[in-house]
Amino acid sequence: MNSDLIMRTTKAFTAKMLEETNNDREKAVTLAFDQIYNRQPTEKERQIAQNSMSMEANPQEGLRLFVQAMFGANNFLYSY
Amino acid sequence: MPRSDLARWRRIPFCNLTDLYGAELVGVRISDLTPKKPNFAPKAQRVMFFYIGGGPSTIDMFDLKPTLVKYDGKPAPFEIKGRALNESQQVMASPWKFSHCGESGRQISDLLPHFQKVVDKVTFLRSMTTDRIDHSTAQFTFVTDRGFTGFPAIGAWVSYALGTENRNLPAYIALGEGATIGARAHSSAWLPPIFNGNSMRADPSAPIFDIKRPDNMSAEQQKRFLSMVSALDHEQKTQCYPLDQDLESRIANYELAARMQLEALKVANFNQESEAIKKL
Repeated sequence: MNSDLIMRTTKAFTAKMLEETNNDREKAVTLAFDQIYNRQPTEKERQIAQNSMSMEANPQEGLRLFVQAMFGANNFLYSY
Repeated sequence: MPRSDLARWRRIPFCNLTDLYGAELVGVRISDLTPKKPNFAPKAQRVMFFYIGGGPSTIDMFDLKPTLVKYDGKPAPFEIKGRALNESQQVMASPWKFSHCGESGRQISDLLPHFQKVVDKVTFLRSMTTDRIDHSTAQFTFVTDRGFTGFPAIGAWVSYALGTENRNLPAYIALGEGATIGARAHSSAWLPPIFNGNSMRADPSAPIFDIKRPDNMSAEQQKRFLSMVSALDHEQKTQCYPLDQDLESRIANYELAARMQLEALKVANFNQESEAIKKL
């Protein structure tokens, strides 16, 4: 989860999510969940994403960090 | 049935049901790594376990076989079945010279000149036998006491029984992997995954792949990142798999990973070791 690959791909993925939602960050979070987990986010997950974006001077970096967390989380790494 | 429930049922026949029942009654987590007292007062303070799959043969180091010497180059006095290469029945002794060493007179190969000098400090256990003749099955026998895959390795059992005093490193660390059985050489198998052996390499710059924080990520960002991974995992566990021990172990491993970032680099750095240790 610390590799250059994950840093590069999450940056590109975040840019793509924002581009496809006309820079609407809330919709970008929903789209990211659809693309990565194939489901809608829960309220708590939306809140975690919002917190991440509000903590960074650049909200896009906050979203990228959240996307990186999504790829590092159990939900992506292991299929049930 | 969800996979988590299947995994739970799969484990139960191998556990002591009384322990399970008792543990759940008092709310104790079964996958517990807190230090525990052994059943008997230990004489040793520390144990280092070297399992060298694919290492030099004991027959060439310190286990001279007089019968092999006797029949060297001749047909074996019994039939060799199964793995007789090219149907050969010919016996071959170790090609190396052995010398009597120390006060014990133990015969040690001249390939090990330093070991020859310290042989009196070594206890040899030469009573172990096996009916397994192939690499993988022999390795499974050595690390799990079973000649096949699917059982916990000795390190997993030790972690299960004793826990760990170091909260910043995994209870069970494996340097490298089994020669032909890979990570199964240090698997916890059907014990909870928290007792699984974590691979480390003898490389001070990167003892664990990608253990270092990326250059373009601040310490504060990484802290938030790990916190988010943990929050996402807890949310999934709460929503979908409250009984899943695998998921619980992964959450614990992520939390451990954060603490390991400093500790793993420290223990893999040999610069602080004394000259005497480095000479070893």
